[in-house]
Amino acid sequence: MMTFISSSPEETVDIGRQIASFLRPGKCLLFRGEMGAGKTQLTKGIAGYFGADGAQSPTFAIVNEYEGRTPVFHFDLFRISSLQELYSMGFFDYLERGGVIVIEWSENIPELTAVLEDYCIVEIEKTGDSERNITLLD
Amino acid sequence: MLILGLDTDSSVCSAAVYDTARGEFAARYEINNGLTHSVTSAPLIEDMLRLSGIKLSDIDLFAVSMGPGSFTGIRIGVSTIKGLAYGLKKPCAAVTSCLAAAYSVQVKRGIICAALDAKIGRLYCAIFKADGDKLIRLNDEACLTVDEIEDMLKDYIDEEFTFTGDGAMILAERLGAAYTLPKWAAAQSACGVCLAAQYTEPVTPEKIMPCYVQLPQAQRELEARKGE
Ligand SMILES: Nc1ncnc2c1ncn2[C@@H]1O[C@H](COP(=O)(O)OP(=O)(O)OP(=O)(O)O)[C@@H](O)[C@H]1O
Ligand SMILES: [Mg+2]
Repeated sequence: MMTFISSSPEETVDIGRQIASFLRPGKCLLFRGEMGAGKTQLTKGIAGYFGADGAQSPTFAIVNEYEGRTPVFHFDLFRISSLQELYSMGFFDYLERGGVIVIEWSENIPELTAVLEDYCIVEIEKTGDSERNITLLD
Repeated sequence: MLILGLDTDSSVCSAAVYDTARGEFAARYEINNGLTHSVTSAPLIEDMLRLSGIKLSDIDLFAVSMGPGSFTGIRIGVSTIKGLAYGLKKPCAAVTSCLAAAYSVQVKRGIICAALDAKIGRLYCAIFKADGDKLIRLNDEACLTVDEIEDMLKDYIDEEFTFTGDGAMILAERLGAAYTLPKWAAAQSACGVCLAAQYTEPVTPEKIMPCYVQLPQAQRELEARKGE
């Protein structure tokens, strides 16, 4: 377990870069945290570390692909509610594409922890207007 | 008759041409470079036909594995074959990935259990009974755990078993088989698609559809409870 404390959106991006430096292709990050917690902000740092700028919320597209040194596949499961739906948007095919996978609203599919082999849960907690605790659980 | 078979429903993309008159494959091609079937499948077919001196118009039947398997892969395979057959006004045959895997081992007796890795700690599985060259289906494809498959096979305990498909090794390990096909050979392939297509009613291209299998729902409650 590892906790980072952020006091601004910029710091959260920076923490994203730090987390990314530990990641290998194939790793899935399961984000947990309320609306506006900073999941997309953190992803900007992760994609940025791999050389892809401009990560944005994939709420409507469900997945954004960032082509960096290592590709980053950025999912938002806000509107997904079953393993079947996840399959039907091609999620499981992304696991074999040699990228890092970041999943916002992973709590929508509790089966993910049973189904994925290589994952890390990332909890983002709002502790103030601009304060956040970011915890990596293994 | 020449049957062109295509299989794109795992990370492997393969195509083959089976000559029923000779009872032999005129060509077999296979590529395993990740899931880029949209890029590889058409050139792979083109290359295979060119090098083996077969014209697309010589093909009598276009066959495809319709899944279950990779969501994207199945759709690419089915649309590729649909497109080719439609353009050439030729019939199609769609077979399930499990049936193709079962035909690929060419076993003449006993029970054939085809199991393909569904990548979620489960296997797409169906069982068949061999009756000479033909296989008789004993159940429909389902997405099962190894325990569930073991249970299902108990009904056939007195029979000889053959395991096939890229999930065969997982099963054979659990059930103590002496021998399974090596991994490369156990991957579902276009050869099995061609062989299975011989015993499948040909249809017009618009009739073939991907085959999806319902993923488990019950696991959700189970995992949620485990999490408490
Ligand atoms: N320390 C901080 N870290 C991250 N974001 C912060 C911080 N302080 C304030 N914010 C603000 O919180 C918001 C976080 O938005 P972001 O889109 O990253 O959230 P999200 O968790 O992805 O939400 P959603 O569930 O809607 O996708 C931004 O408006 C950002 O400016
Ligand atoms: Mg977001």
